[in-house]
This record gives sequence, structure tokens and C-alpha cells, in this order.
Amino acid sequence: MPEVLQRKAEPAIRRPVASAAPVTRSLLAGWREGLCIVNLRGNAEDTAFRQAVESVLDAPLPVKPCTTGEGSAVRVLWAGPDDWFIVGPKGQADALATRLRKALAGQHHAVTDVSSGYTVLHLSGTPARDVLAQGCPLDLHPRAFARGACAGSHFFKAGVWLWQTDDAPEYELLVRRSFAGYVWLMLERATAECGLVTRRFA
Amino acid sequence: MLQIDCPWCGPRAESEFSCGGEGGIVRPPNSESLTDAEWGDYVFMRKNPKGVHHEQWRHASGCGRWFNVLRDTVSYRIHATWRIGEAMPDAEGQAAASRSNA
Repeated sequence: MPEVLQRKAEPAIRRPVASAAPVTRSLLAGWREGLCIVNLRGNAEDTAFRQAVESVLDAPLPVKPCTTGEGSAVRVLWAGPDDWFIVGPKGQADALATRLRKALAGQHHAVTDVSSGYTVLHLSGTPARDVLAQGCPLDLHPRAFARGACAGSHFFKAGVWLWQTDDAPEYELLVRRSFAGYVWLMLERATAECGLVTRRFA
Repeated sequence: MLQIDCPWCGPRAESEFSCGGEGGIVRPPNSESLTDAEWGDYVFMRKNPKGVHHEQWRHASGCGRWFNVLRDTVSYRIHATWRIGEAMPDAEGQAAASRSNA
């Protein structure tokens, strides 16, 4: 109905203050290729399991839903009551998976290197929340979603795991590799108003 | 869009979930001694009430867990959600859903 879509202009349009510090108006986005991504399954209620994992990762294992555990080298994402993603530096997946399997030997667990199946998308800049909101139903207001939180949701039709790395805001999205092209296409469309700056990672 | 309270992740948008039809159906332990009619009833026959319905939903793009939902098929109002294996919580419409399961 066109009459619903028509909106009156704001009575007093606020002009940008000339003295305001320059801010990035565009969205910064880039793929962080080749990161170590390991999927871990196990019983979170088992103290021995938690201790073994934490000793290897040097990071807390998040047992509270939708939280992350940050260590010196890796970030652990809660992906279910018995399911975690471990995101670490490039090229570490093999070594990390081997160390985890060794520490968990004899216990009920599963460690799977899924680095080749997933990739990580970095998003930052002032419009990051508005761009995400176009395709993701999550409440990303700082009151509801801050650093240390993570959530499984979708960006348009692609399933993603999302977490915040900085309150600036700066987000990272765990995306299935086969959806990377689609996610980027939708990102280009969602940033038609604010602009998109590609950021490259070493 | 509905807001569904995932028993693990909390309130989320309906688009993150998938509906798995009627919930709380128990697989008969003595499947070898059932008649074809009884087995067919377990496999195929589902309730389609006008009112409160006990359903199973999955948080597909979130934690991936199945859970129970008490939903009114007329108003779409969700009366309760609870984890698989837990008892049905005291909620409005609980009696109607329990009766329909009997």
C-alpha cells in the first residue's frame, strides 16, 4: 500500500556538525581466510572434559549459551550445549586438533578440523549494525549483544555464527565457505547506501 | 514474525527456526508385535487441532536443538517452550494440549 510507505520528512533535519571528528561512513568488510576452525563436541557437565579442553586451549570453555571464551591465541564459541567452534590463528588447525585429541583420549568427545568448510568475515565501521540488521533478525543493540556474546543466526538466507570483537563495533561472522559468494553479494547490496570498503587480511 | 523463546538461546526470530510438526509422540517399544494399523497410526497419523497444539521446533540456524512448543493454531500465540525430556511446564492451554494427547 503506497500510503503506508510514504513518510513525511523530518521537520528539522539535523545538519552534520562541521567540527565533528571524521568518521568512517562506509562499511569495512573482508574475508579472514585460512583461520584455524575446529569443531569440538563433548559433555559440558563433565569436569574432566572441561579441564582437559581448557588446559589445551588456555581459554575458558563457554558453557553458558551464546557466549564466547577468549584466550591468548584462540576464541571459543558456544554453538550448542555440547558443541563449540574454536577459532584460532592461521595454520594452527592440525596442531590444535592433535593436542585436543591427545588430551581427550579415553573420554567421550569429537574433534573435527572444519577449517576448509568455513571462512570468517570481518565487518567494522559505523554502519555495521545497520547493514547486518537488513539480513539478520538478531538484536545487536550494545545492551543486548556486546563483546563476549555470540549467536547463531542468518544473514539473508545464509546461516552464520556471529560474534563481536570490538565495541567500535567490529563483528566477525563464521560463514560456510560455499555461501561466501552469496554473503558477499548480499553485503554489496546491503551497503548500497553507505558504501563498502574491502579490507584485506594477510 | 513470531518471536520464539529457544530454551537455550532465548527469544529469537521465527526465521531462525523450523517446525517439525506434532511433538511428544513416543515410539512404541514393542514395534515387532504391533499390528499394521497401530504402526501406521504411530508413523503417519497426526493431530490437527484448532487451538492449543503440542509441537516440536528446531532452532535451525542457532543451537540446532529440537524442543517442545505449546502453540495456539488459531491465534499463533506461543504459550510455552521447554526442552526435550523435561516435563511440560504449567502454562495456559496446557490442559487442552494434554487432553488432545491422551
